[in-house]
Amino acid sequence: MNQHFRSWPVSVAMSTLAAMSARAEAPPPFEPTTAVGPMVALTFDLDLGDDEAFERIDPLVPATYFVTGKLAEARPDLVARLAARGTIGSLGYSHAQLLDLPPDLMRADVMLGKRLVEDAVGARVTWFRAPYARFDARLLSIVSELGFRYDSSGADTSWFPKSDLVVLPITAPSGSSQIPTDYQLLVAEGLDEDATLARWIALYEERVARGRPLVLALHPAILDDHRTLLPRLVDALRARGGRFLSSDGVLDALRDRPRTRRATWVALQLGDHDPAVVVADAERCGITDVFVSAWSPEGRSFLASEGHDPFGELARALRRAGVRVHAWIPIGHDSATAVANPDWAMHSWEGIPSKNWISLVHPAARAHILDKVRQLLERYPVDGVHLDYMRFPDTDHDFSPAARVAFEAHRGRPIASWQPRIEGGWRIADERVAWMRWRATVVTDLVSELAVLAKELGGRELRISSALIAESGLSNPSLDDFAQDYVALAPHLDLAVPMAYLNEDRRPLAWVEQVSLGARLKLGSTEMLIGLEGFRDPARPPYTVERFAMALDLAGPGSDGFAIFPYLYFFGRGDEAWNMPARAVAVLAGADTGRDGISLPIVLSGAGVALLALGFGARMRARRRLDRDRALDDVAAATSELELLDPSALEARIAAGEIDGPLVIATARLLGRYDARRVEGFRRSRVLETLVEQPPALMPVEEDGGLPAWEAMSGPYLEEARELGYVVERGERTTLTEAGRELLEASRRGGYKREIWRFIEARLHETLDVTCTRCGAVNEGFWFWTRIDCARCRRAIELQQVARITRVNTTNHPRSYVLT
Amino acid sequence: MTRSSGLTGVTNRSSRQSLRLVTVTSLAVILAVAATWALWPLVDWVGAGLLHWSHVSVPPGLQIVVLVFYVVLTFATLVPCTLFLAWMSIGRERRWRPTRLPMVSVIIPAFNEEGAIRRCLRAATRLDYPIYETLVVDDGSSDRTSSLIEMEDVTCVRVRRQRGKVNAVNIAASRAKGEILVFTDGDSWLEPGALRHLVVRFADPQVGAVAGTVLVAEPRSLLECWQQLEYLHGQAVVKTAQLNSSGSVIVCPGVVFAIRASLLADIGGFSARTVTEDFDLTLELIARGHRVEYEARAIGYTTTPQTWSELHRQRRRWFRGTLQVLKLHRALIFDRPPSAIGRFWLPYAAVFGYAAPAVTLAALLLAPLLAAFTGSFWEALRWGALFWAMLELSQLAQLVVAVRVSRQPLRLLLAAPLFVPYRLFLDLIRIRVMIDERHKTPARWT
Repeated sequence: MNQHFRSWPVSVAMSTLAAMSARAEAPPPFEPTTAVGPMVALTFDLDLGDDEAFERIDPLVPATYFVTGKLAEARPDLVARLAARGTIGSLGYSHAQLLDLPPDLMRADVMLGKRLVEDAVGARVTWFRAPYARFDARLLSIVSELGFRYDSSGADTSWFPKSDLVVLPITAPSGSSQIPTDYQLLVAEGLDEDATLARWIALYEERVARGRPLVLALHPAILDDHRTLLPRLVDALRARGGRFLSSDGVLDALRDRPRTRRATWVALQLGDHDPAVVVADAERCGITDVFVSAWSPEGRSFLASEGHDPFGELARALRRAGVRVHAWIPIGHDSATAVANPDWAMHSWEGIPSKNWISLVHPAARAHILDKVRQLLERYPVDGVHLDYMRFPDTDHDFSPAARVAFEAHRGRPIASWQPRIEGGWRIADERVAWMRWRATVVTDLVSELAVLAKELGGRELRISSALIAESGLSNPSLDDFAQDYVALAPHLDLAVPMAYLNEDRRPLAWVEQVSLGARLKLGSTEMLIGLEGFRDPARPPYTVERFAMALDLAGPGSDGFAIFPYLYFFGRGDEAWNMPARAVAVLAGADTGRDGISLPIVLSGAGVALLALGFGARMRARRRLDRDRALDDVAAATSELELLDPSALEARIAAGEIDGPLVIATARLLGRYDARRVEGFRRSRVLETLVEQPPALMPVEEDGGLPAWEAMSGPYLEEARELGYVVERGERTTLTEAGRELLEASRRGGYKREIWRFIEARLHETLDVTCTRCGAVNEGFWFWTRIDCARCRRAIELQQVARITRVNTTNHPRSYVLT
Repeated sequence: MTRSSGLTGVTNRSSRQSLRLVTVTSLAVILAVAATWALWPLVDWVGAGLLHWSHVSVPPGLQIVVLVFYVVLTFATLVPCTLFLAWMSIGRERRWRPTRLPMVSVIIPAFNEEGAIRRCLRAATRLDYPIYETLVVDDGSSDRTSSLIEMEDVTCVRVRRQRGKVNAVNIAASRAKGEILVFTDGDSWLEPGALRHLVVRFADPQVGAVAGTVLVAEPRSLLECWQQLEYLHGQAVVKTAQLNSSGSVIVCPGVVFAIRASLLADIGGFSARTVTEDFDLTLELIARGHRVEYEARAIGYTTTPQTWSELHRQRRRWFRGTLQVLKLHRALIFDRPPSAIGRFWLPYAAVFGYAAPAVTLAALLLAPLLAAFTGSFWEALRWGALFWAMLELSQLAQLVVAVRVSRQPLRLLLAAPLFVPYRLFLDLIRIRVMIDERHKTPARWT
């Protein structure tokens, strides 16, 4: 797979040579992007029993097949055949609701599914899709730990947690979280075939216009009832130029983009820049684009004044040498302006004006930003405008009066309280979501406005580019932090530069490729350079030339080139502590691969170490195999048992007093499905539910009898609900607000049931007397853990073999507890 | 509602047990003294008998200096070890049993912890306990800590301008829902089973707080291994000895410890009057008649200083705080009714923590002088080497116990031969801190 990247510096160098020979006075005109072409990825979810239906509807085009372990077990031949035609992915073992499983079973289900599919295919499986499109950070981290690299679980509009997976999302229409699967359209919405086809074609057209692939999730069982639909879809998309690809095919197509551009940021505030030296360096390394700072983030201007014109001199020299010059303008970060006009500054939620950031909403601050761009373009001929700090610094900004007014206008109603205390400075969850989305539109609108203005002044050829936070293209938490929505920004930008500073952000190397592919899938046909760090930060782990070279390789797939920050340190002309070693430049010039030569002693000692490691490895491997097989047996047993677990049946057996080891184990398994967050959520829901049932502010002491502490326990939850705005006190009565009602509904949808809460709560208030099978000592145990170490003989009790266990209930205990 | 505190079970303390407590403790102390004095003639005997050194030529002045030096060091380290061994061989019965699992709040103060906070929060959200919440207090961090916290599934309390850890922790405690509060640090993380083991100890209504075990996360460098050994000895041996002889330990580590929420509220939260608020709080609890237990199975991992200068800074704060707290709570020593903590362990901490370093260093300075001026230089050197070896051996024996008991890899002991110089480094810091305290140099929370 890496063959392609290894040789690329040479190919780039050659294309640069060709470009150099054609150089004239002004930089070459901007060549249009080579678009990958319209791509269609059909993905099928195949569970046990879908095999015959699939064989009937098989469209015979390259596609992706997400297969459950159960199907791979039953029909390895089919799975192997499909693997030869497209990409095989895993759908877990049993197509279970993975999020409802306890962590060990969740892990086991994913692992078992992967192994069975791998056995059938005879190769590594790297694609994953979560059953029912339900996933969270926990599941994705397990998935990446188990060796998956790519994921296609959610829709474009889903909420993605931070993970180490490259995500190819299922296409969803913008602004809708419903994934337009065959099930959704034909069954849930009840559309006929024509309407369904029209929806998919509309989606395709929307995607093609932006140069992004169309990814559809399909289910054979449903298409089997509409056998003509799939052939019609294939024909219709083919007629419109669509190329059918497997998921791997899509990524390969993205990887095949030619990488022709090399850029660097020249930050004039870092030190002296001699134009002749910069030009020489640029020519030596085949630099095609340079972002030259017109202002520093601190607000210093580099435009002509008092006989000095650092920006102009450098820009002219570079353009004469045929290098495109982009005027680099920090937008939000403008310390001098923020300090001079505190009311233009962004405010934190406590109302403190920032000393660095100016508001993107305040009319005067916005006018100031537009004025900077106008000033620049009227005075200098440049090839592009590069917008930096086009974002908010964090979730705590901007709460300035202007921003509050604008947000209220956007919501169409006054915000009840701007005086929050917790959770990122917000009271009510939905208000927070709206706030985050609104901030992203503020950024997008400003970019669009600046783009229109710049093209008016600088001509249609002028390129609008922006430096973007890399992680915001991958996960929603980062998008919320900085408000840079790649999909929304892409139509307004000619060039996007995600900054994949892996050392500065303390990320692993693989992250660079994740950024490159992830951003490309969102940006579509917009040109993209991957920003790489070209400096050593003394406060970070050492950044070596080797790491830089590897990052350079990994930044390849999907990008049109790279950009290095900053020129001065990278070329070793700045502060010694921050400079890169000289070899870094050689790597860029193509003379050095960044890898050390290998000497004989190293080879010899390496061989010795390898022999030792081999011996160790063989032992470890055998052991791990054993562990793994044991784990898989557990899973198989547990998954079948899981279906038998039922709280009411267990409750009845517990109440009858016939408690033995196996019952405790079964109960622990059931309880293991509910982690602390869910149990806490259940308690909160129970408090809210009580308020709906009995409007007077009384807690259910009598009704939930047997849980004497509940009254005291529910107090803090009520207090918290009040603080978060879920309940409100009206005179004597405490009632639910709309948000509270919604929360309760959501919790019911998420699995809250009174009986389950009651069951868990009762188990929390009981202990067990377990007699050690070896020494006969009585030990206390809990329902939640199956491992009990005997206090006397200090070994784990074999719970499976304990025939009789006594339950100690708090309520019938002589000294039952009370809270003080 | 003034019924006694919660989570409780049965039975009273038997008088037979308290008698045994006194017997075993005094026996162990006597044993330690005996062992110290028995070892001395042994050195003499080894020197004279086996190595044919004539002890006649050693000047009496030198002998006394070396003797004092030797006795102080050996006795200081032998006492906890003998106590520990004595109690381990006898064992103790459990008097209380828990009857339910209470809600727990895990509280994590974080100030500019962008390097470590992710790992900390990951661990905090994956603890093996059925009902708990995680509260992170972002103490006005100026780096990316706040956005890293946002990405995890925890409740975050923000303090805008930094006002110190004590303030941050108190704010979080005031809005925690749990009956038990568990504290940890932004640069540390808890083992999944930590809560389970901490909570069970609260079955005894007298127990006000429980300290967990602090370990160094993946010790690699020599410095980290020394610190790991020091932690292991201080906890597996010293804390267990304290707990078994007096029912309490004297310090709760900030990295992992649990306290009853109601109790913390009564006391009025942590106090900023000293720079080691956790030590202060522990003694405050003991002074109010509560017990502070130690639970070896509740483990928290911490990142330790990587360089000597960082270690120096950290220890300056700790030792300074210890000194302040000992001064503040000196009344405990003469408290009535007498307790093993007040009568023995606090004076022990003061004397062997602060007086012994002075003696040691004095001896170290005096010995070469005496050797040089009495004319028997080589003789003195030989004796010194022998004593050094004896000290190392007694140290090593105890470290072996500590490492074995806490089930750590034995290769840690490779760092043990040089453990004595490491202690001397710490002694130097202690002396500097005493000078600071005399001159009332303002202490900083670093």
